[in-house]
Amino acid sequence: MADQDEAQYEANERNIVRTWRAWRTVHEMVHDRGYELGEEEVKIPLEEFRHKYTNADGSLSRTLLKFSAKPSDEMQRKFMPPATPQNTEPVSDCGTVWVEFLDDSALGAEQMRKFGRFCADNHYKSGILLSNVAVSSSAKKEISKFSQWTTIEWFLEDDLLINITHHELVPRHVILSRDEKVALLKRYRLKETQLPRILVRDPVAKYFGMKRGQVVKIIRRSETAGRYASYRLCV
Amino acid sequence: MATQSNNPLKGILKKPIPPAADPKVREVAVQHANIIQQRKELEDTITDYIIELSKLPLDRSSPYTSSSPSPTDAATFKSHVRLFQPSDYEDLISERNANGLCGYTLCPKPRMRVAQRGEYKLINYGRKDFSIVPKKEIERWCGAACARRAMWIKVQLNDTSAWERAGIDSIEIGLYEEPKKTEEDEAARRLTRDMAGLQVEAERKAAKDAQELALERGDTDEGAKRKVDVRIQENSVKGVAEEPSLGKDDDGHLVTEGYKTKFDSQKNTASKNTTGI
Ligand SMILES: [Zn+2]
Repeated sequence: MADQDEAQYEANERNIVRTWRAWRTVHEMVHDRGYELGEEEVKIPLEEFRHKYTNADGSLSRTLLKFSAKPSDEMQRKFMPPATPQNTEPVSDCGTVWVEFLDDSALGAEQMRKFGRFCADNHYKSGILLSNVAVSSSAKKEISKFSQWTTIEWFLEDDLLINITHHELVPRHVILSRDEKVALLKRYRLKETQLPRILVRDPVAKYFGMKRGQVVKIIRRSETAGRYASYRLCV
Repeated sequence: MATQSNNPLKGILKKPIPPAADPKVREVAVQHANIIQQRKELEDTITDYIIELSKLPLDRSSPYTSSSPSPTDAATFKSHVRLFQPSDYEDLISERNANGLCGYTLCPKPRMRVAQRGEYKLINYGRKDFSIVPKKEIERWCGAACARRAMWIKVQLNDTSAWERAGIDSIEIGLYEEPKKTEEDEAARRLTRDMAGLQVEAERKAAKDAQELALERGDTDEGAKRKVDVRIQENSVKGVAEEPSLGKDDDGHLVTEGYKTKFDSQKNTASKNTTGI
């Protein structure tokens, strides 16, 4: 009996640590995308996490694991579409983001629809859903139905246990704004299809929430040149 | 520079066509937009159905089982699944599996979990129907019977798009009939029912064929009133009919439509030789 208790305790403990790591990574991700988050929110220690998000019996309370973040002024400026005669006062492409850990044992169309409705009703421009179960195929189809109101992204918690962009072999990625992209294409006299590509489902592209048509600048260290930048078009 | 400011530059490209001033064009555009909207709504409906069907059966404590489902659940299932394409049905199964249920919609049991690790599992070991099956496939159902029932439904589904079938009432999905203990009475009853079903089916098919044929021939109500008056006139026959003969000539059998082919082999080869040299 004692052994069983011990095993259960350990499983719960492991679960808390894993969720804490995913919680930190998703905060770093949101911060790296340019949303406003305080340092103390991003770098929450395990003890504080445990204190805040567990029930009295020590189990994790997933319903509490949700937050929203506003885009910084810099980010808003970066994703501002150019003013046109029809649209003299353009609104930035980015808006408040909503992040939620799924509190359900399955991620089907119903849960995805609920999440999409919530994001759309509360005017969140993008929503990030984390789960530790795989998404069903009909749930994936739901994502595109909300595309005119909100951009839904879905992550597996297991994929966020470590922050891949912090790995020493992953170079620095910087998303270019629309103006920067135009300047780049003009400078090198390129068509955008002539750029090398990065897939939209590439882990780093997913981390930064890249959309098709955006260009990322990849800055590598070089033995001979010090720094070396390359550009990739998201497809 | 001065000239430039006086004369505005002229484009060499064609002037863009002014946007649909013709009400007819607009009408067509609106009509197409409506069709697309309808299709989208239908897709939404299908997702609604998937969500609804992924929760069946509603009453799990009742005596109903997957082989004898409650009539209301069965009716809901049959009416909803009509619109599904096989891929939608697959989505429904995976949706139910995600909820931990057996893939067959009317089954109240949870899906099977195989404790062993490994991709494949041996089933019916040491028996005649032994086979090796992927673990994933087994875990979709509560048992082989449900897999059969679910596939029975799937083979009846049609690959054409839902909006092409939405209005057709004759599409009916039948549930898998359980093979009952063969009492003669039961068998006879089923036979008569099947016969009746066949007859109805045959009649329906005949009616449909006739309709299609009529359409192909243009025998619609409007087509029946022909614009051209066709009158058939018999050709009057003069003289007595005569049986064909080969004619008086000996070479009659060589004649084709009154012409006899001339063929001089000697001359032909000689001329070939002269040209060859
Ligand atoms: Zn079953």
